[in-house]
Amino acid sequence: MQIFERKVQTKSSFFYLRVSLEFAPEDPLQRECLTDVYFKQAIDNSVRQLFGDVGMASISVDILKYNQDELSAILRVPSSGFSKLWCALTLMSSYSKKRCVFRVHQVSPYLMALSVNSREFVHSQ
Amino acid sequence: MAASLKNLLNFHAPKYKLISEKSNFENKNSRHQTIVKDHHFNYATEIFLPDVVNLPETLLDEVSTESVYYVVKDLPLYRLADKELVEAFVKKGKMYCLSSKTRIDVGQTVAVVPPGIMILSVDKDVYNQLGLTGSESVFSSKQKKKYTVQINMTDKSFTPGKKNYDRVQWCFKDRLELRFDFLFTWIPDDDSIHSASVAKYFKDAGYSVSLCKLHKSVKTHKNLIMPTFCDLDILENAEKILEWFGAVACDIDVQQGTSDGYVSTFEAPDPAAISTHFSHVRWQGLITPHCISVLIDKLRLLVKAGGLPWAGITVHGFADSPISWARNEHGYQTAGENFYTYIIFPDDSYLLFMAVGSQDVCP
Repeated sequence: MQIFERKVQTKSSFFYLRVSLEFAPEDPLQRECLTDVYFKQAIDNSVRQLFGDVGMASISVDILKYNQDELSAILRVPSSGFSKLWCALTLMSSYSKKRCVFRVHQVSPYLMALSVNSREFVHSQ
Repeated sequence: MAASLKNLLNFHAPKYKLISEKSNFENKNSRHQTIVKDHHFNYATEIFLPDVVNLPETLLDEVSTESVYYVVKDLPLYRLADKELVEAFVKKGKMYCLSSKTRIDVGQTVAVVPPGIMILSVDKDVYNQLGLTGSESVFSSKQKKKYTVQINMTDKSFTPGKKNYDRVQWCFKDRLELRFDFLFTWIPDDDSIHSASVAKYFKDAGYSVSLCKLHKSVKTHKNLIMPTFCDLDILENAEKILEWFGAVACDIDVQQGTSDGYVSTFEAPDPAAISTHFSHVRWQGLITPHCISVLIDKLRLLVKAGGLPWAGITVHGFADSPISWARNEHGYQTAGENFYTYIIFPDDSYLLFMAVGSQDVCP
């Protein structure tokens, strides 16, 4: 039997963000200190700063992949918390009294889209 | 006042479109050929091969060697719309040309697609200065107006001496001389002509042209947890399946039983199987639809003959392309994804996921 089924979805359960944490060059944090647990804590603190304890509890962020050398990560957040998380990351300015900033490189409702980035690729031989 | 405050605090996530299709390659309603052919600008393609100990090297080398493309620097648009180029190359093959290092959301983008249509996506000031007839973009807003101009270079009226051609050349030369770096490739209709002829043409005209090759990366995973498709209601679980493929593509460790972790609650798919040797190959650059079509056909043969439970292929479009499928407009709001994934089974049935962003027409 030849079948043809099609389904269109317009809402995604999760959003994914590729982010990195940068410290001021004159006052860097020791990378050995910032494990994935502390990175998660930094994100939770940024959400708590903006939205309070209730806000932090309502947004569950997962760190799917963490690179300690580059302090970069792929995050997953439910759609309801996506904008709030991005706001909180944007407004975070310090961690452990050291000045820092979150850079959001890519966002997408599909994890697949984060595997490549045509804007960053350099075409060469 | 209370209603507007409530709207401000809603924090809605952008809406996206995920299209899932389930069909068979032999089905007369199957649109697989159209979908591959109409997705003109392919930036990356990834293949997923479970239970493959020895990678089919001939298949991999063929993709890498056949898909060369070129970058031409600082090419003015009047040269791209030149009659000589149109007669010699655009009409005698498939020309794919996309402006490089341009951003669809904050600048101008130009593309040329078969059978010879030039598509410009420009902002309001450039549109007014250029003076060509176009239409307001579907995704144009009051704050940011965008316009789309389409020029059919294979039209009979696109000839020197006719108003159409003369006006286009005058606009590109005298009104506003737009110049871009372009990525391009050409597939001639006549096999005896070399595809590098266009590159030679631009080089002889004095422009800097460089050859580019696809960048390939191969990863092999041992004992990878992967979903089993036979017991799954696939269309209902489309998101979870696509998430798993994304996790493999992003090289994320998929473990079972971590749903209560502090750092991550990402779970392995359920029902699941273990693949002892799982291969993931990725090519990045500019890949033609023809190359993708051949790759899919070869994967279908490999799945049938090689005893694989299934094979997957994902094709990513350029984030800054002015079009996604056919001549559907494509934009970049928070992201510019326009990709599709085929999961091919031994009985020639397939699953297709097409993913587009909030500023995209549903394909």
